[in-house]
Amino acid sequence: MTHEEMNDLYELYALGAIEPEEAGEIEAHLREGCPECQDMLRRALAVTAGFPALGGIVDPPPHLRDRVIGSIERLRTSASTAWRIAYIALAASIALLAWSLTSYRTLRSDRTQLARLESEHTRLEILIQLLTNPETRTAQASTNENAPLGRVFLGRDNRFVFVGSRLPAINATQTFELWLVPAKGAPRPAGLFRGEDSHAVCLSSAPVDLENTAAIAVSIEPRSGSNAPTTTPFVIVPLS
Amino acid sequence: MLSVILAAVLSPDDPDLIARLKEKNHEAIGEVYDRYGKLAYSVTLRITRNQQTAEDLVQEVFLRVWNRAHKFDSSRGSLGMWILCIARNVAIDHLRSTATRIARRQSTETDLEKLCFHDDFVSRISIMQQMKAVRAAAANLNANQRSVLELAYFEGLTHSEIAERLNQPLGTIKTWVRTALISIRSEMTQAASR
Repeated sequence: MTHEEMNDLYELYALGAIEPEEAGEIEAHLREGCPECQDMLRRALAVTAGFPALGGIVDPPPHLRDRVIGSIERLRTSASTAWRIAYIALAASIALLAWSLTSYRTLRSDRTQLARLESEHTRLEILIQLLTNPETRTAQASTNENAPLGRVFLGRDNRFVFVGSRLPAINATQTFELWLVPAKGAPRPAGLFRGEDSHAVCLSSAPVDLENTAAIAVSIEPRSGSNAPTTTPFVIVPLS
Repeated sequence: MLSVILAAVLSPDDPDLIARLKEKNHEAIGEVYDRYGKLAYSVTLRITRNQQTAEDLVQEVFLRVWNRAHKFDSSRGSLGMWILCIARNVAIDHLRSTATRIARRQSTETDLEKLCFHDDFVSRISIMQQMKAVRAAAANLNANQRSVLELAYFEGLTHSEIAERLNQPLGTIKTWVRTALISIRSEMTQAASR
């Protein structure tokens, strides 16, 4: 198609009223950047800009304004509602997340508490079984009046219970620590406990080698316990 | 007709109105309708020749204006021309879809709206001159020439479709279109030199 032939078509092209094949050819040519045809297209656009003048003017029905504005208002409201819902959903999500975190913490705390109670329950069962078993042996420290009193209940399963009274006072940074004292060698730690009103009952944390234990002793240690006694034991219960 | 179009299309855009329209101000769309609703309705009614359809399409036109206002660039054309362009495209697309001319290339609104805002497009003053020229030229066109231009503008028909519609040879239609456009261009040239 020549420029002259294209020139006859640009107005129709600008109106979108051209044959598809011709439109494709014109568009391909325009994409090549032909300045003459670019100018033709501008002129064509200028011509077609005045084409509404070919028609007549008609007053729209009065209700059309309300209909148009109403439809936009509904669109605006629905968009606003959508945003409101989104904000609410976001707030709800944040609240749910906070609740979930709180619940998770509570649950974790509850689980810790439950585990602690279960451990305590098991410990008490062992304690009752050991104290009520007729085969349980008893050992007691020789005592002086007003001196701390210690008694040990030895079970057949090599667990033992230490029952103390008239125990010395300790502060918050201290604890009582049980020691397995062998006939020869250094004492081995056997558990930590804190008393109440100078009394205490402590179950050994695990079965111990009582065969090679000559005595069970108790000393005051730092709160986290020690690997070897740092103070002189105030109770020593010989097992023999 | 021309005075209405000129008043509607060529009156200076109110920057504040356009700004409020872009900000989705509810009252702004009412003002835009008051200014351009008559023109949009006239074009859609002229194209569809059905009052109910024209009302539906005017509603669609202003919904598009509302939804696409943020894309409107006043430096590349007037708000009135933009709305006029949308109105014509919506109406012609409706005609094409209802006439099931699916096989035919459907110019999308995006394509045509781009044309409405072609780079270096005519200024508002020159548009006014062109519209006056079109009106002056249209008065000198014979019935056939005027008819083919109206079919092309208001119905978006191609040469061959106009030929089929008017039951005339394709060559005859091309001649009518060509002579009509020459007449309008001539009037425009004279208008530009005045």
